[in-house]
Amino acid sequence: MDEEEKEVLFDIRNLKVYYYTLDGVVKAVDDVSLKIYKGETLSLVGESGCGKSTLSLSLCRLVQRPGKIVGGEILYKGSEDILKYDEKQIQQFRGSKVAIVFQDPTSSLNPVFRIGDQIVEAITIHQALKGKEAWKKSYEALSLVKIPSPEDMAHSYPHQYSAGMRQRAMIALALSCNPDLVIADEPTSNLDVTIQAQILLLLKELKEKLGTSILLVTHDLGVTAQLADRVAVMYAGKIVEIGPVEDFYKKPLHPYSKALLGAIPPPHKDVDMLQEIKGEVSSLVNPPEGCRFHPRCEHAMDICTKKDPELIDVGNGRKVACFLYKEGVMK
Amino acid sequence: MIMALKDYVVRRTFIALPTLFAISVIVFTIIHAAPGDPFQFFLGFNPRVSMETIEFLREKYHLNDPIWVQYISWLKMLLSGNMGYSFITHRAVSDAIMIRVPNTVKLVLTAELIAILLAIPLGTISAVKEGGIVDNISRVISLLGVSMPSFWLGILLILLFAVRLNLLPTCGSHTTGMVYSSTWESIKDQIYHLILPAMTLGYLRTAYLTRLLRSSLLDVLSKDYIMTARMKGLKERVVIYKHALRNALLPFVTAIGLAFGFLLSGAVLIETVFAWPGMGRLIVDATFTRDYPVIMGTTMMTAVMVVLANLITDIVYAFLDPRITYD
Amino acid sequence: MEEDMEKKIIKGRSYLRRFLRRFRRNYLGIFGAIIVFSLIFMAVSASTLFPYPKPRLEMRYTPPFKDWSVPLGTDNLGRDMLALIFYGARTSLKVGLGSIVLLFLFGVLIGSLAGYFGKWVDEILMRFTDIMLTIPTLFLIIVFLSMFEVRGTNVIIFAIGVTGWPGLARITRSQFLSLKKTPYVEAVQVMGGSSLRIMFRHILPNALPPIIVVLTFQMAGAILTEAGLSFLGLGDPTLISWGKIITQGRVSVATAWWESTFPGIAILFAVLGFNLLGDAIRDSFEVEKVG
Repeated sequence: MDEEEKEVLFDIRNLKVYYYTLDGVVKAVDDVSLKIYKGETLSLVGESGCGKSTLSLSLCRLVQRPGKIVGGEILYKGSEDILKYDEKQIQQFRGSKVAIVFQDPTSSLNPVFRIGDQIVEAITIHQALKGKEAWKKSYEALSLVKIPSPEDMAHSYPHQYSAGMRQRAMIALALSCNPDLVIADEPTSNLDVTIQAQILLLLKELKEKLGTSILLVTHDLGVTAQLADRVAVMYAGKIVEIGPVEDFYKKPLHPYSKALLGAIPPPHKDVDMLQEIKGEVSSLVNPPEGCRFHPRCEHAMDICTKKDPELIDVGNGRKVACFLYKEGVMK
Repeated sequence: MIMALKDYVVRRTFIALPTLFAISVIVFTIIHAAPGDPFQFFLGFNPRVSMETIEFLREKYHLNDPIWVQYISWLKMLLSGNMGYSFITHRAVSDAIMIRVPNTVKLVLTAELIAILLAIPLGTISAVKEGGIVDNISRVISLLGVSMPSFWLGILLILLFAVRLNLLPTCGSHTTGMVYSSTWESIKDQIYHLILPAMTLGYLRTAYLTRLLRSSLLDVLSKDYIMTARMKGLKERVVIYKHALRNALLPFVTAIGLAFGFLLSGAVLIETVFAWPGMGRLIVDATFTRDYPVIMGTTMMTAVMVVLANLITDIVYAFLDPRITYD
Repeated sequence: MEEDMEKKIIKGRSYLRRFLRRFRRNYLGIFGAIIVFSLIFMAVSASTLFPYPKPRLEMRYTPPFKDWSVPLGTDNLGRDMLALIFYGARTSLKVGLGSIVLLFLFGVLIGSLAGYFGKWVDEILMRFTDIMLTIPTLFLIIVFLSMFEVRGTNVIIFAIGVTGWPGLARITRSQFLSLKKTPYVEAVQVMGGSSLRIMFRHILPNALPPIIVVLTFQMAGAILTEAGLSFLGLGDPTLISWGKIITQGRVSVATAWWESTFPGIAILFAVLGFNLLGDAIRDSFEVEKVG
């Protein structure tokens, strides 16, 4: 798994996304650099409010007011910076290159239009298909996600679908224009456990079949373990660790990653108590000086309160933002 | 579909009947529970009218019977299509109402139409460009509209358009005693008379509906399916006018139906300002003379109109929202 | 335990502080509050600042800004317009306050009973509320007024109060419905608190924010209704009312514009004041949309 060999789909460089609220400027994404490769599944992990959803929305430039992308660049296939696209270009880009599957399938489909209408709408703007052909394509998309008798179901409204079916339809909608990247933002957290498993299986199959890259945004390390090739951990607007999924689970590097993994019970083992991460998630309005995790960190040193650690390469395709590794305290 | 609709209307009508019955009982009781009666009130001070005359009149109009006896005889009359006779003019109440209803309906519907046509663009732009110039202007228009006494606005408009500019007539629904050379002339005359009252009432409704559409559109715009629509690469125009507005219109339609009663209440004042011969004038005049049958009949008629408006709203709603069926 | 208590108290205080902080930032709300305070001042000081306005026929139709003993001019009877406006504030506030007290009593009682007890109590009360909503309010008020030979202020207050509660009852009901299911209320129920005590001691205080918002808007509505009734000639004939002055000035609007213009502006500001205040309170309470 040498990363240099793989084609880079997205190259995010020093991205900054701020929300201008009455309480102050919220630095939801603060100087983040990240690469997404073709065909990989990257899992973006972190607690709620750490900026992971904002980061994923930036890839479609869908950050809403009062949020604003204030700096950095997002290079698509190594050349074009999508932050420089005009309104028309970004509209053509959305849906055809990147599509999003949102968290709650009940609210992410428009209740007053038939499922088919909603898929056909996307197909007609991105592909030279119209009328019957576009509808045929929508049946194909629905059967791809294993919706039974798609010809009938396409003519039904979202409220006539079950929650699991709705999420399938949403995935069909996202895949209908063959995007390079599908962002799945907590795709299963609003579903029943059994349906969660079905949706995860579906995503896995689709990824193998179509070779689409997936950016999985989640707080669930269980879901990550099932689907991801690589893991990126986000904390308070910054990426603190990136690496291949096996290495990450075997030996997490950043103290925050360790704490996160400590917070889920290992499977097949009796655990008396879940380890809790002490303290509260750092405020994004007034982040602490230095490393943002230091108030909660067991290993905090002097330097952590003064300087912001940068992501450093520790080999094997792993990177971590922590002074413990720079100083060589821990190996 | 048509059959389902027909069934639905029939069923809803049957559901509405008990409501209307209850309303008639309540209103009848209130009116007749009052001490005294019109004859005592008007003739009692007149020394030339003897107590016997008053007693005779009371007896003639069954005012000495217990309330429930009076109610039953009223209900019996109503079921045979008769709403009683005015104490004052002795004309059939149903005739008086039927002459007035079209005028009130004409006024109210024109006003509502003006309001809807203004509120949809104003409310939409206000929500989409939240905090922008249009939003701020429409906020001022709305705040003034919901705070302004309608009758006062009417008087100011009369002062401006009728008295100062002499553009429009001050009152009435048509020019009295005028002989029209053609139907078109007659219609034109009526439209001239309708403009000021409909504008006054319409402005107040615009104020309310604009705010309503703005807030429901803002609510819809924060929904996930709007993000989905944007994510698909749709033009912002399509996102707003197709995906958002369609959903925002749902509470808007409900409010239009529910507020029909407010509209009728507002019409009472507007009809007084412009001497518009509608139901509002009828009931106000009847109150001064304690003309029980007229008060009773007019109130029942407005309740029927509200029930009808609600029914129409529900049908329109079901057309707009696939989640609602006629079952 | 003690620490917990302290936390709670601080929370309560910080709730109020948060309310005030948000309110302070709301300039329109402050404008509304200033209007409301001015109204109260006018109502209270009317008889101190001005003698009761009496007809002085020799002064009829003095235009405004001409004679500074009557800055806003005089009406068709030669009464001082400014004094009339001050005395009118008294009537408006009296009717407004009186009717929202009645509204509160009816609305909260009916809404809380329906919301708390549910089932058939709810069914009956809400059916009744729907019926009341089917008759256009002004018609219902007029029906009530036709009961009385002499329509004094109390009768007007009664008519507005007794017809205006359905909206408030619905809000109260929905508040009670949701608060009834909170663990806190359920705990008190398990401990055997009486229904009455739970309803008014435990639930009502928590349901108050939206109720206060609705009442503020209703105050604006009551002032408008009183003006409308006076305009229709259904007001208290013995009191000075803005609506009545407008009616009276309507005849001479072409020659003496000020007679109906000034009281209209007074009504506009009074109603605007309460509407702005209501908006600001709603936004500062962080109450979800009501009314």
